[in-house]
Amino acid sequence: MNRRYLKALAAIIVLFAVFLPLYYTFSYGRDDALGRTIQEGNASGGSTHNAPFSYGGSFLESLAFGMIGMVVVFLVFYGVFLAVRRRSKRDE
Amino acid sequence: MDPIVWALGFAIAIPVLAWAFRRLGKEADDEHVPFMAVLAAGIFVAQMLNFPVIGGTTGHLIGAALASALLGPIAAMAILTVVILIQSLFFGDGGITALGLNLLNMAVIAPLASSLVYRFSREEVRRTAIFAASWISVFLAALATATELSVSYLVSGGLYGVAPLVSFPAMLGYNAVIGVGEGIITVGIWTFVSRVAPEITAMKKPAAGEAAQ
Repeated sequence: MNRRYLKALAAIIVLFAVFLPLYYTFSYGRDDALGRTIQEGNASGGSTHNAPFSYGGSFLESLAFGMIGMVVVFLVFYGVFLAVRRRSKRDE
Repeated sequence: MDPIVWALGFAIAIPVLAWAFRRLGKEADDEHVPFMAVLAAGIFVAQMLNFPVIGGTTGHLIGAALASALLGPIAAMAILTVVILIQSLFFGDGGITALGLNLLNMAVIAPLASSLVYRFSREEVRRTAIFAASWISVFLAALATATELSVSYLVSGGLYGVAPLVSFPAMLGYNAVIGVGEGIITVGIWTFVSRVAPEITAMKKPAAGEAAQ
């Protein structure tokens, strides 16, 4: 893989680390628009399951889980694309 | 959500996204795939960073308009699908039963809506068009969510969902503001990418309206 994409991934991690403290200062623990709408409508949230990861509750946890998520998303996207590509070539 | 509504979400989203992946597999240029994967990873972490909007509410980037402007709606649908699946299955974000509706709103409606606006824009108003496309993608995804919440409420007799008189003003009001944030972030990132990697913004993008090869 071209080195520029590794640099781009590193840059995303740096930007994430820079913006994460702002998230914890201004947004952490506050509902998003859907959460607020559900609250205003006195409805219950969707079903949950025991997910292997969470977004964490502190800067370091969120940074670590964000990086894990990034790597998982990167690899899954690549893997799914290669599988789809192989299948479409086989179908031709 | 009412089971009928969330089941309908899966029933609509899965075939559309399967079609998008098939087209991407056939048409995407191999050398752009690492960029798609990097963008998917970037959108994942960007969605973790909620920003404050109004009345103590927060919002976050969807990223559909950004992916659509950089790579076209088909790639955007695939990218958002992977991001939403990982969020749901690995991080418990968004729930399992609502997964189909989340995919429909953010991985189908948002990329297609933004690409329609972006596609018909001229070069000289490209940034304005990307801002408008971003805002519209957020607003239409919110409109779809409000509709799903309302239909759930009406179908279940108030057992699930949110009353239309609450869901529409709340979802559309908050997301009208969130859309402005989405627009600013999208235009900023698009401008940056077009300067450091102009070949990305200039490349041919598989469009949803064209016939598959």
